[in-house]
Amino acid sequence: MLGEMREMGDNIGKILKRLIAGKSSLRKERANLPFEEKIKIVIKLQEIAENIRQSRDT
Amino acid sequence: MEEAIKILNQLRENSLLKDYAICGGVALVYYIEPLLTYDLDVMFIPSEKDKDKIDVLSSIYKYLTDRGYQESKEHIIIGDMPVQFIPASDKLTKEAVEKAREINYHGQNTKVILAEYLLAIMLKTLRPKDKERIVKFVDEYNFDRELLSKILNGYALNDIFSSLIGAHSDNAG
Repeated sequence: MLGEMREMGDNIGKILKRLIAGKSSLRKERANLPFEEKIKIVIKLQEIAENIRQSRDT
Repeated sequence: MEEAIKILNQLRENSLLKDYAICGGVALVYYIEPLLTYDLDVMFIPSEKDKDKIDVLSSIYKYLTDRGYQESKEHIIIGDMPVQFIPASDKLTKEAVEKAREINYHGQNTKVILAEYLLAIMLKTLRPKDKERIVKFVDEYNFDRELLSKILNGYALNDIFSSLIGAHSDNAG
């Protein structure tokens, strides 16, 4: 029982490590985009925020 | 944002401001992954004729409103972008504008505050929004440590930086 739990804990740890590493590499990838592309993403984020605001207000 | 940059360059060419550089959220986006920001903050050094005026924004606002641009609270809307003009009012911000990085945006030249100065300015203003952004910035960007250290020491911002980053590290466990 204890061995199984330890194994499960190890697996969760491995998954979390992979997730964190994946998130970090995605972040780096986005940070390295050309400035023009980044501004396009900012405009998309503004549209999403505005849609959320409107749906919350109605 | 293209129209805003075109107008900013016009303001400089017509001596309505001495120099400018993009700061705030858009400048941060230049260095790290995109984040939500609603306006274009522009830090500027006033022109020679305006520098001693109480309202250093009046000439700029007159030039823009004469050309049909609308004011909205602390912004002026240029194209689809609310633009906030922030006068460089102390040594740190003036130096930040003077030493800003020249970049090209859709074929137009413009300037962005250097990452190390941007961090120092945020440490000085230190609104809740700045605190969040500082942590993210430090986490994601590879600063020129020598320059950063020189600026933080020169403007007595080292302690505040250490306590902010120290507190974040403690909370992050």
